[in-house]
Amino acid sequence: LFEERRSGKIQPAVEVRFRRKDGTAIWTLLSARPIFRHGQFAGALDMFTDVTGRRLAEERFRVFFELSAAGYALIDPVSHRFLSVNRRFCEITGRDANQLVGLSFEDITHPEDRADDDERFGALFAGRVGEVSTEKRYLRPDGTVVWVHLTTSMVRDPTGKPELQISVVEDITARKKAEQEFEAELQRQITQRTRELDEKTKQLESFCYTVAHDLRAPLRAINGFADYAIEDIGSDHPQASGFLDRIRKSTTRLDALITDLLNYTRIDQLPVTHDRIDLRPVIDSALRDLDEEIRQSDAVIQVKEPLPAVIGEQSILEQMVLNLVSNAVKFHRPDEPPHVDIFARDGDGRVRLFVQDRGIGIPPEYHQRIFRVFERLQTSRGYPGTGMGLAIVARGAERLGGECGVESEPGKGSTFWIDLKRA
Amino acid sequence: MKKPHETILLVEDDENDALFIRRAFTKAGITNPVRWVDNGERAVAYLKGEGEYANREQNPFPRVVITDLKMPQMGGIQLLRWIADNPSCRVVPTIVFTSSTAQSDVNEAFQHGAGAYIVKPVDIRELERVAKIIADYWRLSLLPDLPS
Repeated sequence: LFEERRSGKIQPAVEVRFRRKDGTAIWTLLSARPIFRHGQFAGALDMFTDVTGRRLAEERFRVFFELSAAGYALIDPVSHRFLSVNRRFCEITGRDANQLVGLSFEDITHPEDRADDDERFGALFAGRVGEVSTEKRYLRPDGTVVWVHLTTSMVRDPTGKPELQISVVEDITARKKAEQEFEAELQRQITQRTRELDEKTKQLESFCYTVAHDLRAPLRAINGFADYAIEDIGSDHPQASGFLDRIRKSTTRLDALITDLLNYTRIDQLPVTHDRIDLRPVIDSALRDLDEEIRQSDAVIQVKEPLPAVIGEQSILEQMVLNLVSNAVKFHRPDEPPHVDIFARDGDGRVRLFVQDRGIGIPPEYHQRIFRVFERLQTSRGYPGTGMGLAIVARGAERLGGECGVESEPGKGSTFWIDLKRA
Repeated sequence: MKKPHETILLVEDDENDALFIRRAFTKAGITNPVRWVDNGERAVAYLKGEGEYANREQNPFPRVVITDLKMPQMGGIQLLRWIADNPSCRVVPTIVFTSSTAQSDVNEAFQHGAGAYIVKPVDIRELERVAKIIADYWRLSLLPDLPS
């Protein structure tokens, strides 16, 4: 060093280490300037600056960078090439530092994640986001996929121009794998439960039909033999044949209950298809089914157009309308025949179908209760029924994603409505 | 049932129902003999004229088969299938007469060649009314020749 200086060469500043009296090392930055007198080397002006603190900080940073448990990469924001990577980053990506420097981060990113990278790093570069925090996949040279959590921030010069991209990367493959296994397991369980539930539903359905079928045979026997007995003893024993007639009528009532219970379970089990349904044919079908009741009671039924189409399921809707119209015809005032108006209003993407009668009406305190299973307001003497009709309407509305309700006052008639999505 | 001697084959496992149906037919004015068997196998034996039904004089080939669906061993659907598969029997009109209102049963019955599907009413007077309608319908209908 000193020989060179003597020959007149100007040296760049170098860092020189000294030992203090107490034995500790001190790093200095030496800048020297030779002094010549009459062309002869006369000495040098040496300046030593204590840089121990800086050396220490650098060393600490190097240790931190190199031994950190997270992967670190410094990336050129323009070319996307790696400038410097630490040991952990090399382990995660499966390449050594020499290989990585010179590659761009796209080169080691899973092909399916590259488009997302373009998007997020574009935003970071343009300053639309302050940092990128995401989960993505790298592809190792051996073809294995590694999932990482990546946080990237941008160092900018005073004018805001991107200078350096700093990425911190954590290997989350194990977590991802556990998550995927958990999801697969969850999916498997859902599939299995659904299958079990379908199976149970089918069993329930077949159970209902079997019960209905098997209950009807003895019911028919009771009914039939009571009838034969009436024929045989007839007018000789008016009281006995009166009792037998009650037995006979009870069996028809029990049969109606079974039928309505079946209808109720059917509403529950029918698949809901969300088709476009025209209301007119639904109403016409209900009126056809009620033809006998309508004729016998001299009912006046007025259907008012327009009736907008709704989203629903044909047979569920038919059951609902049938029960509403049947009630409207049934619960008329004793002194006048039933008068039923059927009309619809629409707005806000919904259609509300009204079935309005001028019958006996319902006290407000019962407006909720009547929609429950087996709830009846009237004795079967005055108005026969099973108490299932409005329960079917309510369940049907629920299944079609709609609502139903009633406006009514005693003596002023009732207006039942079904609210459905407009087609 | 234009001809009063032509036989009706009734396939019904419930003895009471068989009684009611026969009585309902009588009340409806049907004088044809009704032969009653209580399951599908016996119905097949009857149609084939086998075993206890070998004597065709006593067990004539039926003009119409009225069958229940749910019966022990061979049920109504299998019986319908068997009839459809046998060219000599295929001409016999079939009526399903059952308590079942399940749409799946209705579909299956017609898929296997049922000529009609009538639900048995619980009320006996209603049953008599239905029996009369069935009788009237078959009185109106023209029917194919029976296998000799």
